[in-house]
This record gives sequence, C-alpha cells and structure tokens, in this order.
Amino acid sequence: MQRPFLELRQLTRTFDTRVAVDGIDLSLSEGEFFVLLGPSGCGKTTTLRLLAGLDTPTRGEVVLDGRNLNGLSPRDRNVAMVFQEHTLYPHMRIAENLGFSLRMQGEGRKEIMARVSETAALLGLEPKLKLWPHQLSGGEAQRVALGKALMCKPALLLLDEPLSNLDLPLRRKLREEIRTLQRRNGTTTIHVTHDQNEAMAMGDRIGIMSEGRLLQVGTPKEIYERPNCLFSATFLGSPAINLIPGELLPEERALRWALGDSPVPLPEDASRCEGLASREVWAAFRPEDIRVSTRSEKPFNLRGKVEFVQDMGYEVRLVVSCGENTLRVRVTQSSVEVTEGTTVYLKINMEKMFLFRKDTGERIELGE
Amino acid sequence: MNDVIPAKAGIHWHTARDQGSGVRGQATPRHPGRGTATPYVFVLPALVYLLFFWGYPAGYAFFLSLTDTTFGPGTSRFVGLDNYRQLLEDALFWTSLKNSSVLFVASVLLEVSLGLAVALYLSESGKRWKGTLIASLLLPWLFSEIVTAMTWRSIFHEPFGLLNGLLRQVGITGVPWLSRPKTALAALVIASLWQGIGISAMVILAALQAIPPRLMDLASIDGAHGWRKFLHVVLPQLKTVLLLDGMLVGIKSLGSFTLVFALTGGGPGHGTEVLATHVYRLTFSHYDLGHASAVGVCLAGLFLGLVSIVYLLQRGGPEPARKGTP
Repeated sequence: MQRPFLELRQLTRTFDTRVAVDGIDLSLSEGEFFVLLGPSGCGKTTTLRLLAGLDTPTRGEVVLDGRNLNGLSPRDRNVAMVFQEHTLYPHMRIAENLGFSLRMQGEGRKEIMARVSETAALLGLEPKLKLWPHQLSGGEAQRVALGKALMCKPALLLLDEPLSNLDLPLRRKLREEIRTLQRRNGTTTIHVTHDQNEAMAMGDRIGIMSEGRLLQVGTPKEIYERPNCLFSATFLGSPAINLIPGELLPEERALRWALGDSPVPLPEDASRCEGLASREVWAAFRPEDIRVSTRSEKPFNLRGKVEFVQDMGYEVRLVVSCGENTLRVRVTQSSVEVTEGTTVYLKINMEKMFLFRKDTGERIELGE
Repeated sequence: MNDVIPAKAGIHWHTARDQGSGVRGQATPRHPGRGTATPYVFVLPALVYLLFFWGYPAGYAFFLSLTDTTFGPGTSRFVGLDNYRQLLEDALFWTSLKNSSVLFVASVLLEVSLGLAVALYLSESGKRWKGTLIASLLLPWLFSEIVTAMTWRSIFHEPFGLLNGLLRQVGITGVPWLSRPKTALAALVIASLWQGIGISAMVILAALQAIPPRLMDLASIDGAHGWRKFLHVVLPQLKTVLLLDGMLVGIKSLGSFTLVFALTGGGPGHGTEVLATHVYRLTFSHYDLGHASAVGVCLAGLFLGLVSIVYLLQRGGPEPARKGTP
C-alpha cells in the first residue's frame, strides 16, 4: 500500500474536562474526498481546526505529505478552509477577496490578477469580481469562498459545513460543483457535515463521528451495508433503521424478540455470542429489507396495521404498528396498494438483519 | 358538527360571534396610519421639542448675528454681514479658531488611537485586572467637567503639583504647565484625554468584540499575521466605529467650554482661548451679542462640516460583518 498523503495519529483535543476529539487515527490518500459525518457537537469542526492549525492538539499529530504539521502556523501548512459563514471579507470586493491569500504571500500584482481571473473563469464568477460580498447570494458567496480557498493550490482543502446555510436545491447543485471541481483539481479534501445525504452523495469515503471518536470509516456503501456499531446504523439511512429489542439464545441459535412469542432462528453459527456478558441486543433492519403483502400467505409471517402512508412518488414509506412496536417500511410504489388503517403482513429479510449489543452498541458478527 | 360541540359551548360561541359582529359593524380592516394624521401625532412631541429648544435658539442666534444687538439699553439694528466682516479682522477670533483646531486635531488623534490601543489590549482574553481597568478608565467620564478641571489644576500646579513632582523624579524640573500658552494647550489636551479615553476605549472594544471570530480564523488561514491581520482585517471592520468615535470626540473638543474655562480660563493671556470661550467673552465681557452670535454661527458651521465629512466617509462602503452575512 502506498504511503498515506494525510495521516492523523491519535489526534486528541480536550477542553478542560471535556474531550472534544478523542484519539483519532485516519489515513487519506492523495486526491481523496473524505467526509466527516456526525451530529453537531461531535468534534468534527474541532478536528478540522486542528488540521488547519487554528487550534493545537492536546495529544497526537498530523502528517501531511510526509511533513509533520505540529506546531506550524496556519499559513505554513498549505491548507485552505471554507466555513459555513463569514467566508469572505465584507470590506473587500470579490476580486480582492480572491486575491487576498496570494497578496499575503507576497505575490506580485500581475500574478495575482492573472490567477484571480483564472479562478473566476473556472467558477463562472467574472461578472461578480467588482461586487461586494453583501451583494452576492448565499450560493454565489460560497462559490467565491471555494475559489478563494483554491487560489493558493492547497495540499489539503477543509470544508466546514459550507452548504448548511443554503436551501436544498442550491445545496444539491453546489455538491456536484464541488465534487467536479475537486476531481479536476485533485485536491485532497475533508468535508464536514451533519447531513447524511450530503455525505453519501459526496464522499469517496465517510467517517462517522460521535462524541469525539471516529466510529467507522468506509465507503458510503460499506457503512450503509455493514455498520460496525449501533450509531453508524442509526445515523445513516432515511427513513431510519428499525430497532427491535431482543435477547440472544446461543444454545438454540435463536433470538427472542419483541416481534413475536416464539424465538426466531439465527441465520448461521451463533456460537460467537456465547461468551457475551449480556445477551440483551438490538435487532436492526433497514426499511427496505421488509416485504409487504395485503394477504396472509407464506412467507409473510408478521401481522401489522398501517398507521401512516408517505407517498414520495419514487417510493412509498409506511409506518406499520406490530403490537407494541412500530416499523418503518419502504416499498416501491407499484408493489403494494395500502391506505392508512389497512392490515398488512410483513416478511423481514433475516439475512440483512444486524445485531448490536445493547450495552456497548457494538455489532455482533454472525456467520461468515 | 353541532352535535359534537356541547350545547352550552355552542350557545356561548354564537353569542360571542353576534356581539363581535355588532361591535365591529361594517368596519373594514384599517391600515393604521394610512391617509390619517396618526403618524404625525406620534412625532409631534419630538418635533415640538426640537423646534422649541433647538430650532428657535439656533434661528434666533443666526438672526442676532445679523444685528448689532448689545446687552442692556440700546438699539438693535440690522447690519447684514457686518459682524462676519468684523470677524475676519478680529485677531482673537483667529487665535481661538487656531486653538480650537489644535485641540480638535490632538484630541481626535490621541483619544481615538489610544482608545483603540486600550481596546486592543483589553480584547485579548485572560487579562486579570480587566474589570478594574475598565472601571478606572471610565470613572473620569462620570465626573463633571468642573471636577475634572479642578483636579487637573492641582495636578498641573507648577511648584506643588503632582505632575511636576513626578517629573522631578526623572530629572525634568519646573514645567510651567498653565503659565505658557503651548504647555497650557497641552494640559487641556491631557485633561480632556483623561476624561474621554475610557468611553472611546469602551465603544471601540464593543466593535472589536463584534468582529466574528470566523473572520479572524479566515485571516489566519490566508496567511495574514500580526500587524497585517490588524491592517487588512481588523481595522476595516472598525472603520465605522472609529469614524463615529472620532466625530463624537471632535464635537466634544470643538464645543469644549467648561474644561477650558475652569482649567486655564483661556489664558495665559489669550493663549488658550477657544471658540466657545471667545463667544462667552464677547457676550459677557463685551456685551456684544451680534458679534458673539456670528462666532457661534461659525462654530455651528464647523460642526455641520465635521458631521457631513464623517457621513460622506462612511457612505457607500461595504457593511461590517454581522451574523447572517456571507
């Protein structure tokens, strides 16, 4: 394997007693677009600030392109960053904003002008160069901010929720623009967001973060299909994954759960869970791993009542109550005709079910 | 529908509605203030106040400046611009204009720049005596100008004053603070600086703290450090408030009367005479109201010019960063 372009080793930042970033290890290859995904307050912005040099790690180090960044000031790191707001200097025209970092590096006027018009052309910003930031729309301002960040040809681009203040259509459009631009430039990028759709749509790889820790790293598909913990499983996916409490019965290779009286057999060898201190688990399955029928027939073995129908056009989302539990179900539009109040019969695809320990949230591997 | 609503509630509801329509009658929704005198009624008190306490005296002063009115018995004739013509030949007017200008320039430059320095110092986090420092800087602002003047009179006292006592420690002896025109003017600047620096620093500090931290982060990432960060990012953000503070200090120093009158009395000789004390002297020593009013009108012209310049300087430019701006 080639040497990683960016490496975070045991990166830690504590504020008084609170651990904001907790021993993060991460390697990125050159040109990769990496998304840090997590709820607000999980430490993803702090991680970016540590990378940019705006904050100093309590412990650990950052190595970029073979160079240890510890102790280097932001300007010596060759790192650029785009924020959610205040991404432009309000007292400078767009052209001056774009050229500011080059000016601070002591570039000549001619060189700056040439690079500014080059970037403006790339982003279609030529008509805006003479305007003030407050005369731009939110989307235009973020586009300028992106151009501004790319002016110095940074080795690493950090995006701190740059799209969060924009409305949805614009956000979608800019997502694509950012990815296109990033692919063309080949700039290694870390993008921070709390929006799972954004993460899935943009990232080559995603890192799921919670309470300062990096819980899982992988491609969007890997994380969606093989979440390694309860948090990853619940954070990705819309509608959210179904969680049903249950108890493992290793001797019988079965699971007793709240969805039925009789234990359900587990697909493969369940001997791995014999040593577990606690056999309390969450059984989790995605809304699309449930099949629905309006008739009681094999293999539809679970009876429920449709509480809520959400027709999205491209799919139908159902909320079905089965006794005490509510299940979120997602079906293609044509597969079933139901209305609220209809009795339906469900079949859960047990092959696609995950089990998570109730105490630690860790995934219990079954089979393979 | 009706069978769901309890009978009592139904009756009550109907009654309420009937009453409502009775009260409202045919009233159409009215836009408050459109086509009525209502808004003017609300503005009227302020308007009366301005006209009576500001417009009338100002107008009357201007009128007086066109006459040869004096105190006591005598005529009051319209003399046109004679008073203004006399001003041009009045050496004391030019002296006081010069002194006012010196006081103005020195006060504005010193109070704004030192206020900025203090604000920058205070804005750095983790200052141990921050509260005490702010309080002690603001305290002089609360004193009346007479108290300030009297305090500084004793400090500036040539043989026994505190200041010369301190200066003696470093080998400077016998500075004639209030008995030479130049040092007396400096004394006025020092006293007014002492009084005004706290409020200048507070105003600037507030603006400094309103600069979004993100903007400073952005500057760091762009490679702006130390004084370049200050010059290119902080100072432009403070422009509006510095202009405003400069204008307030300027107005105060141009109109300064009490401090000058009580500290130097315009002396030695007429060495620290300023426009305001000149007006006072013309009025209450020479009883020459026409001439005094002409000086007053000139002073008002200076104020107007100052405010206009500040207005023009801050117009049209970009706005300072606020929450919600890109």
